[in-house]
Amino acid sequence: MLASKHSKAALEMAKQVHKRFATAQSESVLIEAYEGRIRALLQQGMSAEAMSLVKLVEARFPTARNRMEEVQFDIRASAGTLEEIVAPLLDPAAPAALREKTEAAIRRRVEDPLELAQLSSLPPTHPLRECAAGVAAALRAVTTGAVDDVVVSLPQVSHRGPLSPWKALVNAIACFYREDDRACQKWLQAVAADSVAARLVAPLSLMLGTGASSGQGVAAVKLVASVGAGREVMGPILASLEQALSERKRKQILQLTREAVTLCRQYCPDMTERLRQHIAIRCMLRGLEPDPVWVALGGQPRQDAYYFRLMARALEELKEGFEDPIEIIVFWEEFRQQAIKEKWFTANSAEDGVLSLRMAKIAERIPPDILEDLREEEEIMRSSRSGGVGALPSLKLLSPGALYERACRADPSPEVFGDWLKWAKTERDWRVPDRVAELWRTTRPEDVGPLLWLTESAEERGAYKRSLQFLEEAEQRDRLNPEVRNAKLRLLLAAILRHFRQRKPHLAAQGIDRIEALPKAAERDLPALAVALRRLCRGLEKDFEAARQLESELDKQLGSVAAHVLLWGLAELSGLAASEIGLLQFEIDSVAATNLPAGVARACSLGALTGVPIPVPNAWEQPLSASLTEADHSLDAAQMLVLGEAALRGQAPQLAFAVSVAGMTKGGANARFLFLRARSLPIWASDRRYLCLCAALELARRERDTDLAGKLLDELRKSPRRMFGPDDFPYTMGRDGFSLEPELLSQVLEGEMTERVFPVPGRTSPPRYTRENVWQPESGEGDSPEARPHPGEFDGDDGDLDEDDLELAIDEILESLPPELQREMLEAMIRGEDPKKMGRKFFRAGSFAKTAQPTPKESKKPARSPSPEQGDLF
Amino acid sequence: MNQNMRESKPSSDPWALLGISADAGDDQIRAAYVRKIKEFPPDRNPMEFELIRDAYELLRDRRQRARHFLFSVDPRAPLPSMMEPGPRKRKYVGVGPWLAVLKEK
Repeated sequence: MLASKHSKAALEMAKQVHKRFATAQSESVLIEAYEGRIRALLQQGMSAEAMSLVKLVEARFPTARNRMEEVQFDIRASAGTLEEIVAPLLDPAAPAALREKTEAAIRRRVEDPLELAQLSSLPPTHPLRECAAGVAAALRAVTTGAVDDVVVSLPQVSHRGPLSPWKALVNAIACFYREDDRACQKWLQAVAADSVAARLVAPLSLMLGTGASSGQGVAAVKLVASVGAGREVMGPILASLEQALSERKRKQILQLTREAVTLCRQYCPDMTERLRQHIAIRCMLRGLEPDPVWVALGGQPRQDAYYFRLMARALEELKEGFEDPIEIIVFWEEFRQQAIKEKWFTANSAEDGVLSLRMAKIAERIPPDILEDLREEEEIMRSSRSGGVGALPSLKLLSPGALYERACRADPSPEVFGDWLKWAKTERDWRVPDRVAELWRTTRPEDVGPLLWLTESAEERGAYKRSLQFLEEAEQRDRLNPEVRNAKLRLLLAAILRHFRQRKPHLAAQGIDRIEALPKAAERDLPALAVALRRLCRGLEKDFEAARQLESELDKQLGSVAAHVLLWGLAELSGLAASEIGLLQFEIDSVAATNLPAGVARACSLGALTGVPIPVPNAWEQPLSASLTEADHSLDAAQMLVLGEAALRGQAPQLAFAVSVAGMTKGGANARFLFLRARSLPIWASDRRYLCLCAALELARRERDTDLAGKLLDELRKSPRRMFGPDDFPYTMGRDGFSLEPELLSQVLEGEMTERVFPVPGRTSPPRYTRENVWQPESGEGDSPEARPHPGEFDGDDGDLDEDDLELAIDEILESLPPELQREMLEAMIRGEDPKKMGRKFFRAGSFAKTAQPTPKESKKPARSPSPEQGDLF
Repeated sequence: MNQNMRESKPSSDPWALLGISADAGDDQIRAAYVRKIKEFPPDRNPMEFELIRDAYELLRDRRQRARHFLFSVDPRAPLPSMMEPGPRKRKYVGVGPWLAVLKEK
């Protein structure tokens, strides 16, 4: 009964037994029962009751005196004062066993060595008191700041003495603060398990990341939190939560979220809100519905600047095609407002500029039709956003112009203005970029960038005097600037061509003199340009004899092919008929196939040098393509690329394709030729075109060709992967930045290297890699954004047409057209024209147009007034 | 700038590496860099020097600094990484909280 802790019943029974038998044996049993009862009372903290029972036993049973003395010591040790406990140590004659018991009691009872050090009953020089003073000082020192080893060495404390656990604890704490966790654990193992000091073993182990968080007392939790070691406590549970998130185990995620938040509140309360915000965002990225997550988090996370930034970044990180630029901008704006409110930065600061620039670039990716729809929705106009410094109303918020303006206001640097101008140039109305350039010019009068644009813009509108004024201004700023020098040459040449158009050869001759006076005029083939221009001049003046002489001179300088292409091209650009200027028909058959591409490329290179692209004669497309793919030409990569670009400009995709074949045959899979190949492909081969662009981008990145990579990204953003897909997310780029898996990349490169024939529907089959890599939904994947595809990882595309459907759809469209339009449309398709442009061309205002008329300014949509905000910038 | 914006991970926190606050100006950043490279010269501490150099390169330009400040947060970062001990070391709290555990029965 005693063993099973029924001391009261055991005592009653022993009393009955002794009453009945009254033998020495029964007395012994009764005394044992009394001792059991006394110790039980002591355990319950009833030391007074225990002591009175001891007195009673001593009085009634003298034989039990010795036994009761031991019990009395234990009572004093657990409930008595320290003076009472240490009393035996003052007696030099005290037996060793008693001293040992006393020391054990000290280990179990002393909760602060300072109390022992201040004990008046011990003489000041008593070794125990001196040791206690040393330990107390060391304990205070190690918990207050960094200490030297000498402070914690405590040589006076014997490892067998009652204060040895304290010495181990002090050293463990010192090691903990030194972040020597292994040594700390070693010292903790030396702390006697029955000592008071052992009460710190569990919290310290927890702070080292090796102990359990459960079962800690309130003081221990407070200690862990105040020391700032709660982060270690959080490690294991957050690792489990991370694992559950990666495995998408919904129940486990919610359960662990609850536990993590509770634990975080206890051990690192300062991190709780951050943790809740991060968990909420991670769950969102995993596609978990918000309500149960918020319940598990104990409510919605705080929507402060940190949260909005995390949210905007998370949305930016979504894979290609699933990011929503509008949503991202809205969250960045929320962040901006909140960050200004929370004083993270101020409006118009560098941070504000950088952020607005980022938002502007995202806004550029909003499809114009969506923006148009939004513009039409009055509700959106009404739901103006919360105010704040520089806050923009909803629609302005989505306008790149307004965002660039805000960025420039905060950071009026040439880079930011340059980005703004680059965007403005894509606007339909020429006044938009001009206004931006004017603002740039006013804000930074020393920059030539805006003047170069204003020169070009005025030139395009035919305002040559104005453009020359801008150019002169640019020359005053920076005469040696190569762009300024190029602009001067281009402008002079454009003026000469204009004079040719106006049939004013005398004015053109003056322009040629000015070109010849330029320092640049002696560079490369530019002297030949002057000769060619003079040849046209003489032709216009009907001085055919002089014209012939100049033509021969030109032949000597450039060769007959280049000379003819140059003369023909300049005449074409000036609107001069060959017969008018006495230009003879060129016998292309007389030229060796190997010389043809080199001659054309030379003329095109000269055009590229002047900034006035020289067109390739239409009739030459076929023989040129043939000689490029068949003959052993001597073109280098640069010449081929110039020729390819000229072909693209001249709407000669077959020639551009042939150039890409020649380039890849000569130089292997090269980013630039792959880029050319992609753009030469007809629009219906959009899948192939898209993958070629991605592959070219991958190669450009490897070659660290940032200029080309930028061009490729621009092209990718406007290139739908599928021609008839659900608008195909043409304006988006995912976190993987259109990267391809290595395996798919090598498939594309190998496939394109072997392709030598320009694709024609029904006549050529697409490369194997496009047939094999059809978008398919991943099995078992939900619709969570993280599960969504990226290039090379194909997603389902339910509404898309397969090859057969596509052919049927095209047949139906063609059948509905009159025969002449049918033929024209087929030819346009073979040339690879954009179906949208074809649509505009063939179907105008719901009725057939009067067949294809030349639409030189087709890309220029109806003029729109510049955004009013652009006038109020500074 | 505000301290709240900073990330907790020391390796991604150039301010912590240079031992300066997030609102430190150009001069303070430069001074901290000079101080740190004296402390960790490249011939003796190449690794540390490299980290300090990178941190300085990131912070020396105002625009780049702002860019890092605004966009370096990684919403996909593993959750345990946000609890990695940051620049703050274990805090000395005096003997009181330690004794409170010893006195708690």
